[in-house]
Amino acid sequence: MQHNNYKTVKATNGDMIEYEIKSFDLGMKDVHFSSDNKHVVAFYRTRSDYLRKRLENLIYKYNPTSHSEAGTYWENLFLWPTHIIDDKRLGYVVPVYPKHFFFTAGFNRNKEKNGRWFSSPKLRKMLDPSERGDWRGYMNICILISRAIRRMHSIGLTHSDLSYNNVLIDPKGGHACILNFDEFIVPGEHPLEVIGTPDFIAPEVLQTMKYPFKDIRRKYPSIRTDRYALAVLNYELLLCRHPLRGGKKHDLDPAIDERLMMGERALFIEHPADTSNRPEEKPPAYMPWIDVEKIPYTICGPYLKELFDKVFIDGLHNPHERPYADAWEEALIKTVDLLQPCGDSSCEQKWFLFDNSTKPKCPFCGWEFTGQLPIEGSYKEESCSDELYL
Amino acid sequence: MKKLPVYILLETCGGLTGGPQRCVQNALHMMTLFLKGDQHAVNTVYLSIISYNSYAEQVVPLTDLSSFDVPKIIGHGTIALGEAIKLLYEKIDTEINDNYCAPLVFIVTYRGVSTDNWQPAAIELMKRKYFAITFFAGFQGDPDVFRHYTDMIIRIQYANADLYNALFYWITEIIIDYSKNLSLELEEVVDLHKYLPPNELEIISIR
Repeated sequence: MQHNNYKTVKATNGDMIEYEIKSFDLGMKDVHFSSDNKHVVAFYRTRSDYLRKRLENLIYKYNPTSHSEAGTYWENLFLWPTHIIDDKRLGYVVPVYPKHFFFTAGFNRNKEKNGRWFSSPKLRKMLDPSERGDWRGYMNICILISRAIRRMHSIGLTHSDLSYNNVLIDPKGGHACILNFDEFIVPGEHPLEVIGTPDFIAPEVLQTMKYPFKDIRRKYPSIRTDRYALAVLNYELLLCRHPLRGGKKHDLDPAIDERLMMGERALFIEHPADTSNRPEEKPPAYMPWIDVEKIPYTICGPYLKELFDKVFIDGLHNPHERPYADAWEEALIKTVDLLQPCGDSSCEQKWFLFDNSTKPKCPFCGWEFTGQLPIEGSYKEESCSDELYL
Repeated sequence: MKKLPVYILLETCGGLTGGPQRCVQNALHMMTLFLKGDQHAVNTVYLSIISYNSYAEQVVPLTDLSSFDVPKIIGHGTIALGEAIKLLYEKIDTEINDNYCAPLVFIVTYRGVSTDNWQPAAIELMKRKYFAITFFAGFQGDPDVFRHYTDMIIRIQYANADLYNALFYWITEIIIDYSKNLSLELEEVVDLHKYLPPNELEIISIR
C-alpha cells in the first residue's frame, strides 16, 4: 500500500510498519525512516534463510529487551531490533538513536557521538568543552558498557567487534549504547569472517589471521576476545591511550611493526617488570594522558588495576585469564565509590580516586586536598553483586 | 578487493602561515586518526600528499594507512598549481595499477588561484579517470581555475579551526564510506551527490 511518500509493510508478527520511500545506502542494506521518525527500517540487499534465522534468534530467543521486568532498562543500552519484515525483501525495524547521542555543539554538531571521539586526547580537545565530560562520566560509561556486555555474554551472545566505533557514548549525560547487532554471534553459530577494528583485535586473532578462514589454526572472535576488547575500551576511555601502543619498535616496515606490536609481541606499555614499551614520544597534543609516569594506570584504583593486570599481563596471550565482563562491572562500581571531587574548578576531569594517602592529589591537575576526609569501608570480602544481576 | 588511492593536494603558499597552517595540520591529524581506526579504511586506503607553493612536491608517496604519517605543513612562496596538477597525473600514471580503483582527489586550496600556467596540465589530467573535489577557504579563490577538471567546488566561509575540522571530517566520511563499499565489494562508482556536504560547507559548483 502506498500513500504519498510512505509505504506500508506487514512485519512477521502482524504489526503494520509505515516507512518513507526515500532510502539511504548503508553498506549491504537500504535504510528508511519510519513515518513516526522513531524507528529505522533496514532491508538487506539479498535475502537468505540464514539471515532470516539470525534475525529470529536475535529478536525472539536472545533478546535482553524482551525481559518482562528489566527489558526497558536494556532497551537503553542496546538498540535492539523490534520487528522482522519478510515481504519480498528481508529486513528489520530498529529504534533510531536517541537525541543525547548526537553532538549539540562544536564543528561536529548533529554528528553521532561515536566512541572514537572520546578515546584520543587530540580528538577530545577538538570537541566543544561542553561535550567532553569528566572522569566520573567516563567511569559511569564504562559501567554501562561492561554491564551490557555482561548481559550479552550471560545468554551466550558474542559481540565480535566491540570497539570505540561500535559504541555510542554521551559522557556529559551519562549514556552509552552498544551497536552493530548485525555481527553478534549467536550460540552454535560459526563466527563470521569479521575483520575487527584495529586496536581491539585480540593478539591471538591477529596472529592467526594469516591462515585461511576455517583453518584449524585460526582463532576467531569469541566471548574471550570480547573480554579483551572490553578491557581495551575501558582502558582507552579512562586513560585516553592504548594499552599496547608504546615506544618499542619490532620492525622497520610500519605494517609489520604494527602487526607484531598488537599481536605476537604485544607488551603492556605499563608492564611493571618490562619497561621496553613505555611511550617515548610525548607530543603536546597527547598530554597529559600519554605520560604514564604522571598518569599511571594505578590512578584507576586497586580494583581496576587488578583487572588491567589480568588482561594486559597474564591474559594478553592467555585468553582464559581474561576477566569476565561482570568482574569489570563490579570493579568499576566499587571504584566509583572511591571518587573524590577535585577542588580546582578549572580541572577538566573534576574527579580523581582517593588513594588512601593522607594528602590525596589530583593526578590530572596537581591540586592537593587539605583537611579531613571521612573514610568508610563498605565492601565485604566475598562478592556482593548478586543484587545487580537481572 | 580493490585498493582506494587518495591524493590530497595542499596549497601551502606563504599566506597559509600561522593560524590556517595549524588548522590544516590539526585537521589532517584528525582525519588520519579516524581513518586508522576504521577497519575498512585500514584494509583499502592508500594516501598521498602533494604540497604546492613555489613548486610542487609529493611529500608523501602513495602509502598504505598503517605506514602513513602526517607530514609537517609549512606555508611559504607562491602557488604553482600547474606543477601540482602535472605531478598528480604523473603519479597517477606511475603509482596506480589494476589493483586500485580510480583515485579520489581532494584539492585543499588557500588562495584558490594559480601563479603558473595550469591549463596544459589540467587538459592532461582530464585524460585520466579520477574524482576530485576542490575546497576554497573564504571568499578568495577563482572557480574558473578549477571548474573544468574537478567534480565539485566547496567553500568554507572562514579559515578557522572549526570549519577546517568540519571540512576534513566530511572528507574522512567520504573516504570511509567509499572504502566500506570497496571492502564489501559493492559498486565502485563514486556518486558525489550521495556525499552532499553539511551546511557549513557551501557548494560553489558541482558537475
